[in-house]
Amino acid sequence: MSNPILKITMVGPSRVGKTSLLAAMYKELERELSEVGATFVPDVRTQPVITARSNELKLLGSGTTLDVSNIVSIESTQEKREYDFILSVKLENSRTEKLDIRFIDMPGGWYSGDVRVDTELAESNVSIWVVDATALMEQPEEETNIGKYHTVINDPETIYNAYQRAFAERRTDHFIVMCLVRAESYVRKNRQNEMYQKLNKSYASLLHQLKQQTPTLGTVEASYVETVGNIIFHTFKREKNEDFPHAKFMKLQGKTYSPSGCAKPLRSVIAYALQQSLSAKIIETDKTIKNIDHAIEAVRRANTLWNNFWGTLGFETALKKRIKYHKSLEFKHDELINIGEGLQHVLEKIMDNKKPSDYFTFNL
Amino acid sequence: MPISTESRTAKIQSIIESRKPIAQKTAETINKLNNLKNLLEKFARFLPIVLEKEIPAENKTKIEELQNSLKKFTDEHIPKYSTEIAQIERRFSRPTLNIGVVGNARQGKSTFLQALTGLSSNEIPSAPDGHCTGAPSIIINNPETFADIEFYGEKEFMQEVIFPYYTKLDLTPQPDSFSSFANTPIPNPTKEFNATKKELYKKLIDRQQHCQKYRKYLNQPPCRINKEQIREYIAQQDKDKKLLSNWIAVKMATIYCPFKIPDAGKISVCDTPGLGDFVCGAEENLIRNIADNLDAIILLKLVPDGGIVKPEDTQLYDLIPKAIPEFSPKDWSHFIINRKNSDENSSINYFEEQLKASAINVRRIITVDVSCAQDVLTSFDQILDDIKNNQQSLDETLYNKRFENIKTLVSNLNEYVEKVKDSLPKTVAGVGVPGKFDKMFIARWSKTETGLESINKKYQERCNTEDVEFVQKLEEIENYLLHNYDFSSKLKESDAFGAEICQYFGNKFHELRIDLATAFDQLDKGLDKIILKVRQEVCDVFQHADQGGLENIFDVDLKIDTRKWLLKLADQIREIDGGEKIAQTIQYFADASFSFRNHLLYRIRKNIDPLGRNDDFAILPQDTFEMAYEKARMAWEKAASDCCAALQSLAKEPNRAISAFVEDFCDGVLRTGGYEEAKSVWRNFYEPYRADIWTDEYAAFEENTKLRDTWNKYIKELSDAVEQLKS
Repeated sequence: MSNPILKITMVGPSRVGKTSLLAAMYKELERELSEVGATFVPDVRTQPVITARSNELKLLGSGTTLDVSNIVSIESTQEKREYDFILSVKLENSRTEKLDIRFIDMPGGWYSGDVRVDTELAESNVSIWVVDATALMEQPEEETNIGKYHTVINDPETIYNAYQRAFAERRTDHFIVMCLVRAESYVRKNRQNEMYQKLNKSYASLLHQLKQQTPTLGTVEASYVETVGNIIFHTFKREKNEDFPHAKFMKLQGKTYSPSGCAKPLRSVIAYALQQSLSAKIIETDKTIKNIDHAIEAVRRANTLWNNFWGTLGFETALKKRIKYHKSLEFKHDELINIGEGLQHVLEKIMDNKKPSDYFTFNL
Repeated sequence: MPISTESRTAKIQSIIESRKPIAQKTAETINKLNNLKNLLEKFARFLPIVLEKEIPAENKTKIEELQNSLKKFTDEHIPKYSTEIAQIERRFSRPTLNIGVVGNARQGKSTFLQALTGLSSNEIPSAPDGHCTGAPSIIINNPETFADIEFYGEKEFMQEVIFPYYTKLDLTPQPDSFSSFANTPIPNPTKEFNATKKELYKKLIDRQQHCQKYRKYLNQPPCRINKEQIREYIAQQDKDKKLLSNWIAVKMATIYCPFKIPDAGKISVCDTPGLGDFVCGAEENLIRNIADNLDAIILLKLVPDGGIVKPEDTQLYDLIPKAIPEFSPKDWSHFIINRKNSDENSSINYFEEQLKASAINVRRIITVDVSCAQDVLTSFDQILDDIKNNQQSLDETLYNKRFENIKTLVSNLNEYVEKVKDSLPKTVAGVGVPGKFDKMFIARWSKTETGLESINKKYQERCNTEDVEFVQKLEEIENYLLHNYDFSSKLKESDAFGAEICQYFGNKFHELRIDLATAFDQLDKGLDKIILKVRQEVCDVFQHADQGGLENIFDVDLKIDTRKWLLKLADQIREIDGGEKIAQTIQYFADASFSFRNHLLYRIRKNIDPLGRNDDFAILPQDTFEMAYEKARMAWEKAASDCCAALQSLAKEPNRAISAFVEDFCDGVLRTGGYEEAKSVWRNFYEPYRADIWTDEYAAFEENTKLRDTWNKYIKELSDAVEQLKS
């Protein structure tokens, strides 16, 4: 039997930091997983790219000069790339359980109408929608209190349209994780709530419309990351060949390279994957018991480690709804991610690090 | 009478000091006359405006008579009296006591002057034969010797030196310029000349023949020469008896030298050459010289053959009253008989008796050997004593007599002012169609309201838009700050050498903060424009002929300065019952301003202040100059960028402020106390100006309040000016 595969699309316009986020997420999650006895390994094609990007980020946060604009020029992705990772854990019985995770990274320019984006989005389970925090926060406009360059840099409408097209015929689940990158400037000033408020103000309406069109769209969860840690916003500057200014950054004196919180988006993804897997198990059990409530109870008793979820307000109700929906769509068993128990156990430990206060859930 | 023991300097000083109060009074009188003349001329320009209005024929005739009388005052009487008073003002203000030595040629004047002044024949010629002094001169006691030479202008020269010959000799045509005189042959006599006229004719030809020599001096500014050059400019011949020509062009030579007589004080003596010589115009020049320059006159003459008084003596004597008619020659003239060694006492005595018996009446007759210095000194002291005892009463007499003319002028002017009062038609009550004004006002005010409301609406619509000029100016400033500000000249490693790095940069951050704030002062140029524009729009509504119609009610200059015009409007409205609040509204609007410093700086201060105080850019003791420079540069970029961004977000503020000003203005002007109440105030404001605004409807002068007010104002000013002249 092949490994379950989790397809994650990195979503966002050009230069927003999708690839950098991926590299940072991998680094942090890899460390956390290794602490709980699991491995998170890129394949041979992925390894050099991720390593190079990590090194670029590290270089950015190194040295003593404040001005980082000439240290390294991080190139935008020019073509679709697939980054494959294998998350695996060796069990006591020497058996290995694995989960394939594939990140699809496409050039930001494709989101304006390239059909390849639509296809990838339609086929992926999860998307990580990357948003530049500085564009959202800096130089807010009087009427909206949202950064005046948010529209041109984060381009929410274009991304929304891509989702809309991709989900026009969608019948399966999809989970959107929103991730605020370049959040260092605001975390150091305790402006996390402000970031979430502005994110909500900018995106809630779009997400709501998307949800109405695509009922299979689950909750949307957001978090923020610091991919370098010691870089903050300096000014907006427009170069000669640019249509609009871009943010320039500077190093904090006396601080070292210290990325933080980069695993948060993937925790959201993992939580989703675990719920998916739980749903699959319940549906499978229900085929025998023929009673969904009994099936839920049976699975819950068999999976006491899943108390994390059971305790969450509304989880059971949402789960039932999802299950009913999946059943109505006559999902095939293997269309849902089914994670082995050993791997579930490991992933649950990762979930222990998920603090609800670090996340924002859109009320759709 | 024994000579007073008081020193000469003291005597002279006492005479000069005693004149100062009168000098002051005459100077004040001249000012008053000038003011009066200016006022009358202004009134003269005003009268035609009055005559344009519809006024009864009788009043028109009176005003025309006023015009004619006015011309006499401004063109004849006042200039004449002013000249007379000015003459005595110069007299009383003189810093020296001037004694003139008058006499025909070759009577010993120069020798007398040499004895007094210490000048020699090298300077003022006194040879027994030949020509002597040519140019008139004043010799002033002074420690150093030099001379200031004043030359004729060409026109003046023709008028005072050449034309008298043509007139005396009946020669035509007279040349119209010096060039013409120089280049055109002298006309031939039309009739046979007698011997005197022949000599005069020869003199005229001589003037022409030598004109190339002295021509270069005409029109030249006064020049200062040294002692050795004096004779060259005032004498008719040099020591070798070679004829000189420069003196012809000299109007007056003022010679400074230390007088021979000790303790001479502030004395000057004047030499008046030319009499008895064939010089046309010499008498006129003498009269002018006496009138303008002399405080006392010494007539000097050698004992004549036969010891009798000659016609030339009385002719000379008769010139004196022509200079200052208020004086008789005996009031201020002295006669010195110049005795030579060869003269017998009997001849001298005889001549003296003849003089006393003649019509030549002077204060004293003294016999002096002018070649004897002691004699000259003694006679000088006698004359000086006499002047001292006599001068004050002489001055007062002259002042009072001249002032009699002023009194006459005052009396005439008072009569004139009474005529002015009587010339205007009286105000006629109830003139005009009842209700006419109200109808016209309502129609005009309605248009004014519409105009103002239209401006208000326009600015309300713009209220929430960014001001384009503001944004543009901000972009320019941002570009300057981020790309063109010369950072490297501000922070120089050479300047920091030896200084502690934190302190050096700490000080520089202060300067950077100031530079940053002042860079934004440029915004005021755009902000000023916005204010001016809206103020102009409002003024246009009030002033436009089809709207407010108030264009011509104030001075023309005010119209150009909209702020002053509005303040003037506020002042006028304030005078109307109930107009205080409207006036205040207008005043606030006139003074409304929106400036960067007052309205925007405090809102971006938080972006400037971190410059140098932000820990993210803190200069550390261990930083090299390069590292610190980079931090300072980045701090500057951050602050400048943040300030520009903050101001960008405030780009709507100017329009908001303006719309608030305009709305407040319209509310205040149109609706203070209620709409009808406000309109009523404006109606009462407009009424006195009706003739200026509805000129066709109110052509009759009696309804022209403003013009009448101006007329009354002139009456008052003229009365005051005449009253002042009396005192």
